Amino acid sequence: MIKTGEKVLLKGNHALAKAALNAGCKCYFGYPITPQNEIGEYLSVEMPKMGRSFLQAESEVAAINMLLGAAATGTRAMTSSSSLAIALMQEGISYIAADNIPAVVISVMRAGPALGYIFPSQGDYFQTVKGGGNGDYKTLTLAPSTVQEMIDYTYKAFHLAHKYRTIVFLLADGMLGQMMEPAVLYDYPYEDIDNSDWALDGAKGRPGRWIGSIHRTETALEQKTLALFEKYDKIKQNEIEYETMFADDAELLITAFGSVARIAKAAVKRAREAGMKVGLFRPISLWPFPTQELNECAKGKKVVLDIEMNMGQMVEDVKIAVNGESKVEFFGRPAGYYFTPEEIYTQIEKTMEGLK
Amino acid sequence: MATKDASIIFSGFGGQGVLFIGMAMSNCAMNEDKYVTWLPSYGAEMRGGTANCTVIIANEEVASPYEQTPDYVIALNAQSVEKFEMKVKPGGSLIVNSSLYHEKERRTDINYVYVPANEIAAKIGEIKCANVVMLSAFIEKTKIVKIESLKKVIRNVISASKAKLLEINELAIQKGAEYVKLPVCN
Amino acid sequence: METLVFQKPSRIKKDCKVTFCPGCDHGVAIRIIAELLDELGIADKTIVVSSIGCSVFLNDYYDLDIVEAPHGRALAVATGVKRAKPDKFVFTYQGDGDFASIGLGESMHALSRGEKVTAICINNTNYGMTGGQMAPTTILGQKTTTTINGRDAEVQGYPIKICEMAAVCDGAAFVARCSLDSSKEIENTKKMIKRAFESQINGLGASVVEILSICPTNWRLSPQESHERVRRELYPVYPLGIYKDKANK
Repeated sequence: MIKTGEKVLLKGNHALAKAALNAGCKCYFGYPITPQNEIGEYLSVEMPKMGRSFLQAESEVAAINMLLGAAATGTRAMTSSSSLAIALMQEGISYIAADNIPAVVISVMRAGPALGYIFPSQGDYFQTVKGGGNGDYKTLTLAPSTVQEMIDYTYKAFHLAHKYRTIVFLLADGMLGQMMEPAVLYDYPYEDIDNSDWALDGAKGRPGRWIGSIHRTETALEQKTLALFEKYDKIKQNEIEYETMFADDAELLITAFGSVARIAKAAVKRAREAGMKVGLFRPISLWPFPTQELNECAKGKKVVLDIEMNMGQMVEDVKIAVNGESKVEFFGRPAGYYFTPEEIYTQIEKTMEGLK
Repeated sequence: MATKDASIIFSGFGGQGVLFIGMAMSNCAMNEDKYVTWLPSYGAEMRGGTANCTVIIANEEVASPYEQTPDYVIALNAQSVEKFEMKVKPGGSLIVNSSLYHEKERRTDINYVYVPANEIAAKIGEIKCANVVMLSAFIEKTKIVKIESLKKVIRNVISASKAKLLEINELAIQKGAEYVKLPVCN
Repeated sequence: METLVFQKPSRIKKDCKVTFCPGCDHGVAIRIIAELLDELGIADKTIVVSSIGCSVFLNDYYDLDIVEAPHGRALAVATGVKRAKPDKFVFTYQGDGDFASIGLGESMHALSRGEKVTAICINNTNYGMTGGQMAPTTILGQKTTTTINGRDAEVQGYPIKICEMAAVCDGAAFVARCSLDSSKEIENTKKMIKRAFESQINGLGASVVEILSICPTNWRLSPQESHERVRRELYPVYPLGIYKDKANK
């Protein structure tokens, strides 16, 4: 048993699973896939002891729909998976989004396309942030970069899911899931959110409630989506999160998220030590993307260098945000070898050289 | 760049406990208030019968848990030497379980430390603690963390109910450390 | 003196307008389920899972808590509802395409797990809502808009038999096939659904009631002719009866 507040060596996947339990997650539905199996394995042992429900589904398709069912009752529930299997969940994700119900989906990215391999990757930024399901909807997405943040943002994911009755993604990768790092587990810091005005629990003494996505008139359909986007506007106003380092006087601003951001940090520090004016802007909420904040930050910079472990995905949002305030360059590599801090440092040197 | 105290790869057969000693090393570092990451080879890689993990210890937040050219490799079997000997950083060290490896050295720009861990463990009466012998020898040799930290970590992971097991492991720590102090190792 | 001979079940919406095709059996099935919820006193704790197909509009009729499942996923959604709220009464209302084609995997696994939910499966041997295409249950020789010369075993294979498949699942507690082609069969169907509901209430496992139903619009037959077809053509392929009953071994 880990005592609250104690610093312990934790594996990212285990940290996340422990945080989910602390957050009051009552139901878990999932299907095995590397590199996130430790989440399900851990919960399969712990949840029954706590009188909670762990269920290994017959497929990811079933898992996301079980999550939909539990979410419709207002129960704190989640699933976890990876890349190609998140692809299988997209239909259900679209339904959950349209239904205005709270659900947490953990995506521990691995290399694609298709089967790819179990190596870490950031190739599913689009899949998560832009969504693969049909229709106009958004998925709130949080991207941790340390084991500690696997805890912090799992808590926040549950909180936001229930605060806004929406689907929230925690977007990690195989590196964050598999690595161990000292971290502190603490109590769930958010208050319970009342759901008695919408959750399904049997229509006793009140009219029946319907949770669904079909609307047969043009007006109803339009109103439904407009209401959804009113909610998204609120999320945009309140829930944008990002981090900067040495950004103020930087000539070169690096943008990176998740595990790549932590590697970039080391390179930025070294570049500063070498007298180069380099800074970092790290979006933590990938949707809502810190568009305005990055735009402000990019003003007066000579170049924004976006670094991702993919062939260029977040860079599109970076370009929209920067909106001509600075030049935007991209440095990426597909999943396989992971970036080293040295490699990023070399790229910084090269980019700085080009500015002369 | 984070000034790395050490990047270490622990490698061996599945079952030799290389992930465990990697974790023990990481716990030692954490308890000495250092920054540390531990990263295993995982998933389908496990099926080959070999296992390894990478431990990075630093004075500030670790940037990446990966290391292609580690400062140290602790190789518990021959396959691990084959796999990692050429990857050790020039000036780095390869710590070899010499009970299971007798080939010639392929490099002149790294240090070789030979520890007959299986023999030492067998003498203690438990071949399974060869991993702890290796770790103890490594710690004694490099002083990256304190031997005392290792003793504490081992006491924490082995429950009091398994007194015999604890005793064996403490002996393994002692014998491993003693071995590298011998002239043969210097 | 007035005598009350028929009363609308309490959970049928007062203002509901039936939107099914004339003669369709859906309305009958929906009514007898509502009657049973009243008779068993479980309406207050019922959560219904609707599905995709003609059954999607369940909320037009029922004054109950309802969640819509994506196509084929009704029993996965029901599993999630029941696992989250084990004290609630949960049933799905789905068609044969939903249950046995796109959702066969979810159906078989929920039954095998013995989820304490009930599946009501309306089998009308075609895809009604989309215009009468071939369904998994379309019988050999049956003409549909995608088998215009009749279903051919050589080309489209054989029809899927829901109850026979469901009965082999160890977690299934009650499995029955019935029909709505006459008042006698309607009475029997109500009995079957009641037993299925009771098996859930008693925690025996999963239950399935497959109801042979008509689709006059797509069958291009009158309601009367449609019911005759059920007896003439469907009975031999899909025999009525109880296929499994853990309560009465």
